[in-house]
Amino acid sequence: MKTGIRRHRVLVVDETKNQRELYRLILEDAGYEVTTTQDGDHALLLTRENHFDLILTDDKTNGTCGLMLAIELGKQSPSAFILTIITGSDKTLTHGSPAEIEAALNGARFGFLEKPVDRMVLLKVVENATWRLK
Amino acid sequence: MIDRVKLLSSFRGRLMLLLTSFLLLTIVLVLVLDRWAQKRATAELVRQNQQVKSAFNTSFGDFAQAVSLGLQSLSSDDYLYEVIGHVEMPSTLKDIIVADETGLVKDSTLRELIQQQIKVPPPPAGITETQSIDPVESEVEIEGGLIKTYDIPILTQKGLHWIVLVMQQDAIINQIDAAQVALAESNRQLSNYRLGGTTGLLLFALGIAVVIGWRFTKPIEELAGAAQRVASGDLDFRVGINRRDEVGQLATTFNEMIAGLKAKLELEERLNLSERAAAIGRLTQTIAHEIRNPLNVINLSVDQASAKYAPEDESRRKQFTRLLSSVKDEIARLRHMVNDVLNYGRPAHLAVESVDVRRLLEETIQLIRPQADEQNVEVTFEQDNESANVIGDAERLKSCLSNLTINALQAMPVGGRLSARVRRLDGQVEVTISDTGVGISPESVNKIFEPYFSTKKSGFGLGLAVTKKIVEEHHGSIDVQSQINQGTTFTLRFPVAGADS
Repeated sequence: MKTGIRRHRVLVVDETKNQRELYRLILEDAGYEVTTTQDGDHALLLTRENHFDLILTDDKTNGTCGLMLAIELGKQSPSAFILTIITGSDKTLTHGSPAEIEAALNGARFGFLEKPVDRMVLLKVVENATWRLK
Repeated sequence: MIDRVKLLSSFRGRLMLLLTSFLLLTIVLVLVLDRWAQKRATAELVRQNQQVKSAFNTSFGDFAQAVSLGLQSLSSDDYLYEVIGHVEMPSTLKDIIVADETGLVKDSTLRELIQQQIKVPPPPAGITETQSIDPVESEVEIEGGLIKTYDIPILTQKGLHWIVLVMQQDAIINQIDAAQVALAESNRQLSNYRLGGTTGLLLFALGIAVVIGWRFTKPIEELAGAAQRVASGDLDFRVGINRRDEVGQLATTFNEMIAGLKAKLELEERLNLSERAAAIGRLTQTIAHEIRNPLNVINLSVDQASAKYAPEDESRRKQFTRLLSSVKDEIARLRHMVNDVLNYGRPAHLAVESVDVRRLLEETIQLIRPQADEQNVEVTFEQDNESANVIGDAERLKSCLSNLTINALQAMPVGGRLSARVRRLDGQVEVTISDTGVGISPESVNKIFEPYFSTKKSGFGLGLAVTKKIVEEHHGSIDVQSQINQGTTFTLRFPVAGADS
């Protein structure tokens, strides 16, 4: 892609292979540098060693609450935008303490998308989030 | 609460009354019989006295006659047994014996006694020829038996003689006996009367007791039958016993029991039903939730394919695009259904603000207008110029309105008219959405707000259930009026914003 500009780095955390690879396909196609992992702990490890502009997580990863993972990732990568793709049940959102969820929801670096996600919407959200971080 | 049984109409009371009156009647009867018997006994006593008196009178007369016969025997040579054929023997005397001082029989009405020795009392003192003394009671042995006698001493020139009067033993006693027999007879008669009277009363009381008992126990059979019906599970009847006694009370209690059992059974059925509905709800929610993951993959894949892998060839690309857009349509439908299911079970998180319902309805109508035009449906929107603000969640209210308008369109596949109206009425905001479509059958119209009920061939049947839930979360109400092939009208009413402040 455009060589002069640094390619934005995206970390995709999703335990289902199809979804993970699809995100990679779409985002790489749109010019992002994509790293994928299926494991929340591995994701935390990756963020410790690498810089990511955007972390895309499913709201359920390896049995742990995706939202908690999103909060953890947000703490470790203060400059990254955390985009959580939620399956849309309130149950997912009621994990964790209310204060933590409140903090997560109010943080400007967090975003939510409800499944099923449209490609155009996904790209728009990712573009907006990373553009601000340019 | 059951009224207490009045004493006089109760079985106990009646039985008590019966027994008391029977007792009183018996006492009265016995008293009356006693008085009557007393009167009779007095009369009888008087009569017997008379009889005894007359008996004694008779015997005294006889006595004098016998003495004169004895004297006659002393002064004549004729033997008494010879004379007695011509002279009548007094009725109370059996025989007359004349004996001297030593007891040697000189004369007698019994021939065999003459010149025999009999027992006589010792000579009495102070007896003179002119002065007679009282007879002496003695006995004489005649025909092997001792017979009571009255010995009268007579002093003649031939010395002291005894005129022994042998009494006709039974004469007086017979008369007294007759009186006693009459008395006994009257006593027997009296006790017969008493027995008869009390037996009659007892039988009468028994008869009444049997009637009361029968009348009392007859409905118990009906109750027993009813209890059997209840035991076999029949609760759709009432015991038709209308009485004021204990059985009536029992019947009333029984009916209350049946009603209570029925209510409990219905409650249990309703609970079972709602439990089942909740279980189905949980299951559908889980399924809906799980559908979103594959749906997400399909959706993104289709998007990616149509964006990146469209064929170069014009006509092929058209076909490709049409195929993928129909897939997108189906995904949208699935998404809608899944949202319905998840929204129905989702607790209310209302984003509370003041919402202009007129604006919401206008927006909703704008959204469905293209579809309406396609189906040749005329859409009208009516509103009075009063504000129609409602406190609530705009997104959820809008989903209500769009549910109703989409339903209306689906009811008119070959054209018609959709009328939407907002107005203020009695301090409420009233929204009506009417169509001229197929209508809803009367048996279905009560069920359309129930979850998982649908008249359509597709969908979960949650649209109107969600709509109703949202309306109720906004303290509003929803009503429906429908006629088959005439159309359907939904009426929503919400409290006006600021009405309570």
